[in-house]
Amino acid sequence: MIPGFRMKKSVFVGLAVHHARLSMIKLKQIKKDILIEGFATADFPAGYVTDGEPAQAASLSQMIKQLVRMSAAENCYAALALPASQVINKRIRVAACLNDKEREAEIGSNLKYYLPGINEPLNFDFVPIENQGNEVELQLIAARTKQVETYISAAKAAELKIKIVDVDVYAAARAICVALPPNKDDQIIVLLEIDILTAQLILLKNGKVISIYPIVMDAEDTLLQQIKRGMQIFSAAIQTANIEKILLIGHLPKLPPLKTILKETFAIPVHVFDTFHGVLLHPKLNVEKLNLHTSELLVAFGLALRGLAG
Amino acid sequence: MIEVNLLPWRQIAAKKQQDELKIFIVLSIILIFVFIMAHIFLSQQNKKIMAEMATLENKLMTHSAKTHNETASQLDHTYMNQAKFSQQQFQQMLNFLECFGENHLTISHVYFQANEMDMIGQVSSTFTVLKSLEMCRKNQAGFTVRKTIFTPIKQSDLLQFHLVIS
Repeated sequence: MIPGFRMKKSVFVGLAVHHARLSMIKLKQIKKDILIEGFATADFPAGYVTDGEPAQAASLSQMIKQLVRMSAAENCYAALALPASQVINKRIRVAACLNDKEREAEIGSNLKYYLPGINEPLNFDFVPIENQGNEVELQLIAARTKQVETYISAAKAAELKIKIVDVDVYAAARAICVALPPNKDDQIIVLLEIDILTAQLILLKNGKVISIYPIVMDAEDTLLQQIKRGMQIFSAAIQTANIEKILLIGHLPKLPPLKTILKETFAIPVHVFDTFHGVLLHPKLNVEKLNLHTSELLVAFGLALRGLAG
Repeated sequence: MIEVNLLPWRQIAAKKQQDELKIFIVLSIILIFVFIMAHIFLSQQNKKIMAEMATLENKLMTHSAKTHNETASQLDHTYMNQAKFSQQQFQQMLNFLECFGENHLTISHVYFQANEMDMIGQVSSTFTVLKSLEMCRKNQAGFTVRKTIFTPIKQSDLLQFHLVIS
């Protein structure tokens, strides 16, 4: 291929790895429209994932294979997301004069200094956040190489071609921007993503992830107490600005009471993400089933969107 | 919007770019090689054609020279033949004159012109001329009478005769 000339992929699959489940969506770009061609979700068996890694790589591959078959996504290019709680997020500073390649070399050689106490090989990426005189602030994101490779091998065995390994919160933010475009500038919303055993609060400002607050469901505090604490931290972070709404996403089978409680507690509108606005559906799709799983598919949707964007 | 990729995409992109560069270089080398080979081949063909042209030119020149020589030789031969012929004819004319002059004729002018001989003279009668011509023919003088004109000479019994003989 000629340098600088890259073909955009018209079909892309998003595969989201959550703490206790997998979700997959297959999108197709038809001119400016996006079509959902297939989707599937699957829960991990109890105790299947320990310390962010599946107990058996072979069975993980079988699970992904099953999702691929259900979504008719064989041999498709795919993006994979790891949960934010399983990746390391840190802001670092490097000399502003360094170019991208030099920054990578600088971070690679000083990874132990930036992330003390981690002796395992890491896969990392970085994005510039802010220029500060002679230095530039970077967001460093790292994940254990072994963990990344486990998922990539399993996806490869399931006939998926993984091109991107992202983080779920960024994928969710991207999906929200497309599915629910902000209706005003400086819109601040909070995503409450609930999984079977975990949850996380994500603070979004204009579609950008500002802060993440992880919640452990089996902790001594109740879920509501942890959400309150997270909201307090977010309020402090945004100072005078107001949170416009709370959007519930993820695995939400028993949520109607929580929605009411949150609404009463924070006096903020609370919505469940239940529709992909402006997205076409393949005629063969089971729409009722899709509506039931929409909130679970948000991260996978955001991943596939990134692939389509090239 | 933050877009991260935990795959070593920079190394992959750099490797891909390097591979593309390698392919580009290899293709360029092949292309240059093909051009050079084509140039060499065409040069050789050109040389070959030039050599053939030179050979043909030489052949043409030789042939022209030969043709010229042959033409010259042919011309010489023609001239020689013509000269031989004229000499023969001249001899015949002299023989005729010798024969003709023995018969009491006066020949005042003899002109040679394009294988023909004009003869003007005086004679007492036409009979004498005709008898002389008959005699000369009998002597195998080898001539043909083209024209015979007799004109009476004023205040004289003589006739002027004008013969054209070839």
